[in-house]
Amino acid sequence: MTSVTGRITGEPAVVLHVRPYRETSAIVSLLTLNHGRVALVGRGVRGGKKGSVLQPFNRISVAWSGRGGLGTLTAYEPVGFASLKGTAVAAGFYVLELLSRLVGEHESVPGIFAGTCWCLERLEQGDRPVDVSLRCFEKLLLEELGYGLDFCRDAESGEAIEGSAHYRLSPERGFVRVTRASDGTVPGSVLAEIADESLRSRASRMAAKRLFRVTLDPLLGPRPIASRRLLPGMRA
Amino acid sequence: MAMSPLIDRLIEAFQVLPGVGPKGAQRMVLHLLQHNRTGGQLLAEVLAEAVDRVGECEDCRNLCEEARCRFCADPRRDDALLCVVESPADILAIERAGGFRGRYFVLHGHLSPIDGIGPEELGLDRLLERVSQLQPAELILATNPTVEGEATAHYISEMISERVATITRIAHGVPLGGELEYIDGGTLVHALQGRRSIR
Repeated sequence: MTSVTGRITGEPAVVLHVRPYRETSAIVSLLTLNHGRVALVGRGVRGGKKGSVLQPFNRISVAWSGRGGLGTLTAYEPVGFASLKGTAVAAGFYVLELLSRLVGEHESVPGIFAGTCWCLERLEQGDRPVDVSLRCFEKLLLEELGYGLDFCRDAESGEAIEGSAHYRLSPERGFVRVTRASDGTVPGSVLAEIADESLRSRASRMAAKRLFRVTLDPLLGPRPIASRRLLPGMRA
Repeated sequence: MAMSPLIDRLIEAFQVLPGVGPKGAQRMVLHLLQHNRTGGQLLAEVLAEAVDRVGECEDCRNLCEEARCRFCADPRRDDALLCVVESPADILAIERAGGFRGRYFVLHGHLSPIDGIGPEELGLDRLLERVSQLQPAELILATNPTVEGEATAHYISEMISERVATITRIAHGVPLGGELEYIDGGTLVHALQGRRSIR
């Protein structure tokens, strides 16, 4: 809820990062439902009884004051404690790092917020392979940011992607049919598996990883994503 | 209100200390100059010497002025136990509590991808070297129970799994003398997940 005085209350948020500031305070970076990425100064939030609430991945309900720039955290309550384990933590950091780098401040991003909660839940429950959850998240994030790839249509002819044909990703256009399979081309059947997010075959998972990576990298700029170094399959 | 250039510089210099703002720095400076010049002299000398001579222990990266810190140099300590901590302050806390007689390794931080701190920045290759050299029977991961501390512990356990027979993580849960009613949800979830059979 927003009031005329620049106070926001009861806003759903996911904690992205908490950076120590002075003795007991912290700069808290959040992904919020209606205000996108928000950075707030939390005075005296470190080490207290509620120390476990402001931890990355946790869902909270937050109140703050101040418009734009660095606001002041006025209240927060836990909504859900995340308990990611093992590789899922590294994968979760990757999700948070993408959000920190790509989501604008004070922009309403309900789709990305819902996708983030969904992805973190999948990682926590471990009901799908970690890389499949990450690929689905990357797909959604690119779509929401306006850089989504069309896995169902040939960008040149406009025809539906055929399972037996081969396609090449043309930057900023989409998939274009090629006559022969070669390095960097993807079979239509694999594109279909990425389109419906089933990612059943190893080929589709490898292809999705490569395709999303080449699409994300120009958006991320030259600074490498540090959490990729923590993920076993992503170091290359 | 400025006093004199030198005093102002000193007041500013004191503010490098954590928790010391302009007011506190001014009080400290005036106290030293007005009432305790010998103390001030001593502080200046010891500080200059410490900054000059204190470095990292070549075995465990604890802070010390010798090549090896007192915990690494002590022959009575148990080489079979190696405890990994985030900071030298954690060693002091564990030593104060007593009961641990093994060796230490200090990471000087934790993995924090958003801050750009990965395995290389943390110098985990030094930990690998230490493990190969000491060949402990058990590696205790005593990083903080924060998300970053957990991620660091997990990464180290994966990295070292084939070199050490037992890798353990310090327990976290309800503090001694605590009451469940007043424990925050996150800690309670951990305490329940990490429950232990007593029979």
